[in-house]
Amino acid sequence: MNIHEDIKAYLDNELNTEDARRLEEALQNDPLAQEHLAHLKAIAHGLRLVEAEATVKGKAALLDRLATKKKFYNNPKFLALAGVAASLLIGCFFLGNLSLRDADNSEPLQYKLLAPAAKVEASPDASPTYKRAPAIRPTSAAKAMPDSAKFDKRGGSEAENLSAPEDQIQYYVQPETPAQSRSLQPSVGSAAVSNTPYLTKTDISLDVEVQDVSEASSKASNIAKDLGGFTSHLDANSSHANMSLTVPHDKVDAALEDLKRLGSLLQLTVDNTPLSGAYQNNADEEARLKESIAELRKLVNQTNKPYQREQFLSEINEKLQELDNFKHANSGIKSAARMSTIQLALEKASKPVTPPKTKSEIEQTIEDMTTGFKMVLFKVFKGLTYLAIASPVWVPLVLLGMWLARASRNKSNF
Amino acid sequence: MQTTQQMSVPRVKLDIRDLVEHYYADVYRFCARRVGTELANDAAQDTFLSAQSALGKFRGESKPLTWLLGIAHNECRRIFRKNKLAPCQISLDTKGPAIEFEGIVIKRESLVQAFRQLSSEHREIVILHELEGLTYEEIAKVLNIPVGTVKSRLHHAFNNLRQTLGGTL
Repeated sequence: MNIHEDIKAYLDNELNTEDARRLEEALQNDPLAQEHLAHLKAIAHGLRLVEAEATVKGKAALLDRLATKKKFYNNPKFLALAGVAASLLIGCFFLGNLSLRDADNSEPLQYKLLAPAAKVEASPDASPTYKRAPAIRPTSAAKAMPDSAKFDKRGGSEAENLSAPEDQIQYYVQPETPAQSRSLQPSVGSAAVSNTPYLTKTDISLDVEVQDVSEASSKASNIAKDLGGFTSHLDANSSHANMSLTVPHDKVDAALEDLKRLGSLLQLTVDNTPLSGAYQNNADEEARLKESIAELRKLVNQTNKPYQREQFLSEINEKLQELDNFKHANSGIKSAARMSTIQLALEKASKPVTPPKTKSEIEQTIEDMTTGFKMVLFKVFKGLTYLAIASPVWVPLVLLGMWLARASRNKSNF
Repeated sequence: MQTTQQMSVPRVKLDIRDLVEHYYADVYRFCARRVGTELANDAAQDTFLSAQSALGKFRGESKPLTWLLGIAHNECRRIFRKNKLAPCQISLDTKGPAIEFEGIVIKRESLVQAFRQLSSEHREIVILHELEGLTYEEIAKVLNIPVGTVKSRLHHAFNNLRQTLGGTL
């Protein structure tokens, strides 16, 4: 322990108890140390006395300055930070807005990313095809069909144009569940017919309150025509109209959407009539007749008696006639399943009618909003990607700027 | 010896107006001893404005005055640089009778002369301890140096003062 080094600390009460006790003991036997201590005390006392008293100024002015407290948005640091953040966001958006085009078809990349469904729908291979049915020849068997499966004579001229090979006819699967029954989408191809010919006829009853009955009926006719159908019945006056519209089965949903927009919907009834049973019965009868004809032909060849031969031939002709009838009946059933009837009742409204937004319109609005939001996100993300790609350039510059700013600040402070 | 007002304040949450009310005089004198009375006003005001924006950084590990003097110390250094001043512009009174303490007489002029011959580091630490009344630990926090260095500098500063005053004591 060096007494002289610790005397000042002892004088200032900065020694711990043990060191202070030892130093006091050492001081007892060291006159020079005692003198040193006395001198230090006198110097410290003198220093406190020689300072000229300074008058404190500026306190009131400082309190006034602090009273006008700055808002955070007036803080230059906050403004600078907000400016940088806003610039970054805007910059990212504009960077993302630059067109990235696909080398193959020059289509903007975002469309490929955001609208794959639209691309598929537009593809000719994937687009649903609509096949024309063979001409209809009303027969006695067809007359025996349910009313809903009958084909209106007034549509005959239209229907006769709808001709196509048998294997390309489009049939409709009988809905098996409530969820399936809501969808009226067709099953395409003859395979569905050859094994399980589930056929159904859809009849729809629709009551709509409209502002102008004649205009609405004209629009309804155009809707059916545009969808590949026709108006089979029209009975109209100034306040009321009854229409029968026949439209292809796969266009029923679209037709309903358009017809609802004519005015205010009062009532909608959808009736699906299964035709599979009648079709199967006819097919069974056909098979039975074919077997019977084949047996009769064998008998014709075997017999030597002319009167028997003539009788067999007569029976064959009758059965052929019946066979033809059943064939035509099934053909009619297929056609009936292909087309749907909409019984449209138009009532003149006493008050102005505002057509409600359809489900598709609401979905479209939501889809537009979603697509817009996705586009903004996509552009920002693309901008960030550009920033990341260009980071070897701007990151060193930013770091250099920060270093220079810090160096400048340090220089001014010290 | 000047006494430092102690304020019972919450550990971290400080109000700048309370700080001004309680510590402005101490901070002003601290600044006046370094940059002179003419610039002390600016230095003290800048100290409190800096403290206002740094209130959130105060962790309560030291007394508020110690924290404020640390800020004032940096402000004074900035003013030294800006105005190209020599450190420690303390005004000392050379006029008046000699100082007598426990039988020892010191001439004022000799004491002031001896003080001015100290290095700026020694003058600063003598001011902090003898005039500001800070403990070694508080000085260490203000100057951001170890406590041992404070003890050593004070020891050497007073030794130098005693040696310079040797003939007059």
